[in-house]
Amino acid sequence: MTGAEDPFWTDLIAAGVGMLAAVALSLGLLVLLVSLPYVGVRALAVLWRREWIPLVYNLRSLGRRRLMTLTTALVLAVVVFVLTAVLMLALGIEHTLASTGNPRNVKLIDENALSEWTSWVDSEQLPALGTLPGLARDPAGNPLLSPEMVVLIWAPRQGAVDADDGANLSVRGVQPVAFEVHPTRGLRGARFQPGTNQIVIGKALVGRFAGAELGGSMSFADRDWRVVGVLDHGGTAHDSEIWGDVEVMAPTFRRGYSTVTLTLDERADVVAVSAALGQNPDLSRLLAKREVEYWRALSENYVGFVRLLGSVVTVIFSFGAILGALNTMYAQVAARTREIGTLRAIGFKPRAVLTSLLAESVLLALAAGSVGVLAASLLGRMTFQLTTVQTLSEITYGFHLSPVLALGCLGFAGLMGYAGGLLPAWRASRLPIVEAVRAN
Amino acid sequence: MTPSRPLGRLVLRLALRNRGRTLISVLGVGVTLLAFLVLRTLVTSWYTVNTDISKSDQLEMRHKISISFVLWRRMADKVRSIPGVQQVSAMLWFSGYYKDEKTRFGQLAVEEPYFEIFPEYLAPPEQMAAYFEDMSGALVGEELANKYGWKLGDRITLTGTIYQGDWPLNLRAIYRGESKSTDRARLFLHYKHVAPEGEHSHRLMVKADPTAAKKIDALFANTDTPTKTESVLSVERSWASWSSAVISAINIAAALILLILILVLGNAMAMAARESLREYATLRAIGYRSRHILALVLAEGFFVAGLGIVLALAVAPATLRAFAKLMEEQLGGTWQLYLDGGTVTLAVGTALLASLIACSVPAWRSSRLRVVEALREIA
Amino acid sequence: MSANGTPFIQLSGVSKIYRRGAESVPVLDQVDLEVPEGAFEAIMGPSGSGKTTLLNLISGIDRSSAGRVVVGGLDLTKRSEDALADWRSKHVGFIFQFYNLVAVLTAFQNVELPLLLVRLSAQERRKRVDTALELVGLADRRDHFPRQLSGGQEQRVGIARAIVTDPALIVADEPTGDLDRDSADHILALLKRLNQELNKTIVMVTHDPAAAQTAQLIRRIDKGKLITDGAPATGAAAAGTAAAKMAGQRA
Repeated sequence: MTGAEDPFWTDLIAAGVGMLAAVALSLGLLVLLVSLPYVGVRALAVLWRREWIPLVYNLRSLGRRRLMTLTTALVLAVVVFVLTAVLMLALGIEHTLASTGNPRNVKLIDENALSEWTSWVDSEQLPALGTLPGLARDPAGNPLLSPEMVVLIWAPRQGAVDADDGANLSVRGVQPVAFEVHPTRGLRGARFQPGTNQIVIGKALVGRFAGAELGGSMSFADRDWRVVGVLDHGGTAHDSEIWGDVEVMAPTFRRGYSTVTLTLDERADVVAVSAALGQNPDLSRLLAKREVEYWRALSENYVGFVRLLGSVVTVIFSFGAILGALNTMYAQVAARTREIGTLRAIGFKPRAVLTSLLAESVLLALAAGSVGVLAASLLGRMTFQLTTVQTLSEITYGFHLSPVLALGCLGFAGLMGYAGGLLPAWRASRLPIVEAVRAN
Repeated sequence: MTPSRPLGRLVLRLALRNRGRTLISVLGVGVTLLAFLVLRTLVTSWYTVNTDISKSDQLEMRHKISISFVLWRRMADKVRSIPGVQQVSAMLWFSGYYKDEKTRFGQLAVEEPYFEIFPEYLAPPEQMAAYFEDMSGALVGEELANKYGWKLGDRITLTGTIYQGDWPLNLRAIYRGESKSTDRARLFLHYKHVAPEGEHSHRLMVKADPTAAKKIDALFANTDTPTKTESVLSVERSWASWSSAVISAINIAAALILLILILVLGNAMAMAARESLREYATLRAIGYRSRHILALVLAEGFFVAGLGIVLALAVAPATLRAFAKLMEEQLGGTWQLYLDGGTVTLAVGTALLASLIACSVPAWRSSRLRVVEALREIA
Repeated sequence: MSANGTPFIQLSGVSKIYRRGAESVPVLDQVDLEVPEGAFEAIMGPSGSGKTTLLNLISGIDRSSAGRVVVGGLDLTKRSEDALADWRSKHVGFIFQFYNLVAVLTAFQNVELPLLLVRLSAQERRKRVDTALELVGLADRRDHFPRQLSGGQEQRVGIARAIVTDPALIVADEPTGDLDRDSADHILALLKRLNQELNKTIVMVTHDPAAAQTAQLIRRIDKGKLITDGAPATGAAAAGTAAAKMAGQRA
């Protein structure tokens, strides 16, 4: 079945069902929204007047129907796990790329270029750049200005049987000042000696590509390069790069500089730099971008895609979970009709029953959700590789869990519990006492 | 002797007895299965590689050192001289946008031989002739034409990024794809229009025997522009493999759906069986055997699953279309997500299997009821 | 009669109609009833006579379709659902045929339930629950779950729950319906004590003639109408002898 050949009635059915679904969904959301003040007021009243049904009743009742409770909890946990994991993946990509940038750095790129790899900076422009306002200097008075040449190479994988099994990697030809402009967390081995074919590689490359290890030898641009150091850039994009002396690499690749990265003083800002660039006719073709922004923009599309995918899938999943919770709560109410009737007879008010059953559903969901979030957090140690159309080179990312993310996913779990429990709880609160008390 | 027709009616009655619960269960199954269909389609559509053997004669030449370096167009002459090489065409990625900076689709500036190398871009001969005649002509895929409502003769203006400025083009031809995997959302323009005196080419496309690849690379090995030549298939596979992490994640999610499906259905079936306890006990009392009860429960399970499957399949095409549109807005380019026979079979089979597993416990329990106890419990 | 002469329970012209779809079923028809404070009355009648409905109206868990229901000076017909709930928690104790205990709570926790609706400290509550359990003779079973108790014991827990807030009125719906003769006798003896020693007004619906004998007065109801005004029981606990049919005269 291909799109152009779908029979016409699939469109009709889809439209019909789609409309029904849209209506149902909107109605459902409306009901949920409207229910919040209704439930909220009653819950507050129950709390204020101390007329709640003891929680131990709910907890033990859940424990009584163990299989059903566990099944529902499992479904909820899985849904929350998937949601959290996907969001951690997206946040991981965003985090890895965004934290590649130093908040005080500014990147100068050719204004027509889409990214570093298609940008050119003339070496004749460099002296003028040294006079830009706000440029920081090192203790010796040298400007923290790093001209860089960035090129993509093909690197075969470690132990590859097929010569075609490899990936694109970024090679960055730099001057020694680059190590100050892009401070690293650590270095195993040593920096490369200027004028030689020595290189340092990011830690994410170690063991994954042929020759990518301390003392190893990597081969690209028809030359061999000795790995004398492994850089730790704190889990950022630079950890997937190869750095070497620009004076050696530029002629090898027959390229000039691609970009220039500057470190600014504390008080300085990008706007002043942009203005200064605009005023100088030689430099007007250069664009100044905050380094953090530059890297983050590269992740935007992909992150957006992953989040979209994750959200859609989770929404669909969550229907299943909510329906499961709904079924379970209905069953719980059905099984406890006599108890509920008795509680009402003794003097517990309808709102107490409502709050009690809702609390049961929400608590179950929160407990299950916590398990899901915790399980997802275990992914935090994992890394994965991606090559996207924006980055063009293969970068290693990690999963990233932030407190906000964890709380948000937990909240979503609670919401699912609420949505699933609302109708059964409401119906239970309106059971006529007389019949309920005699139910079997 | 199994009384089948009355049992069938009974199943229907039992299922419809609690319409609300049955509806909820069907929805649960349907929605979960829908998610499964969407994810699997996403995975299979991620890269649809044309594994047709006859297409292994499509080769791509690029600069050996870096994918972002360019080749000399004049290298094509030397390549043509190699025995076994039939056609060579230069190719540039135009990388412009249409109206909006975010609206991007594949735009390639190519020479005439390109369409002999890639015959899958099928357009009527008179349209192709018109395209070749007009230097400002454009050849567009039917998906793209449908999306923007372009008709033959329309003026399409692209804004270039690498090639600065506005580029007005005349739509001269619309191509269908030869097979499902052909990208029907590309725009082709003439190399000479973009770079009349052009010396460079991003890639050189070659129609030749696969063995020619090594010969081509040997030819340029020790020059300024060493090359790497491989089949287009191989290039596509590499790109696909670089997204393997995401694809694996999607596959895992799809597997989890299975789990959820079983649990949701199991939950629903357990409840249904409990509600029908009285009926089952009565049936047993009047002489039905336990395997009849087993059949009843399983039948109800399959009934619910069946309805859920129908629901999911009915809604899937539209969902996929909507999803594709969302992806396009997010990632740009064009996404083509269509239901595939294999995916459907997998989904249906999975649902039925899940139904079987989910019903097994309640069915077993129901069929093993001790009639006396059950009747007493109800009385 | 209460101190100022008005009856404790007073029903005037009370009717109850149940609607099942399009049909209306009249369950009670223009019932007038007066029950003095401290009385112990039994209501008997065939199945579907409306006796349980009568009990439900008196105890405030159902509303009449017409007429007035006044209990302890309070007009129940004019109260809201929530107000009735408040009233019940303080003034009515319920005893059910099938005990209606919460399976997941211990005997102690079950008895404590009505007290949770009254503002008391945990210590106070504990005292009252223990007192109630002692009264029914189950102090040593406070931490047992209903499934660990016999039918008779469960009903005693039910009674303890019914008296723990010291309500003036106790309603019992077939309290001995599910019990064997011995347990039934114990329960009835307990009820008698509650009435005589603690001055609780008890209204009991029952099939069991022996149970009816424990009450002071037997009222009969059929097809929604009180047949008689009530006849006195012969007093003393029944012992399984054949029930004497009361002709229905006020002594």
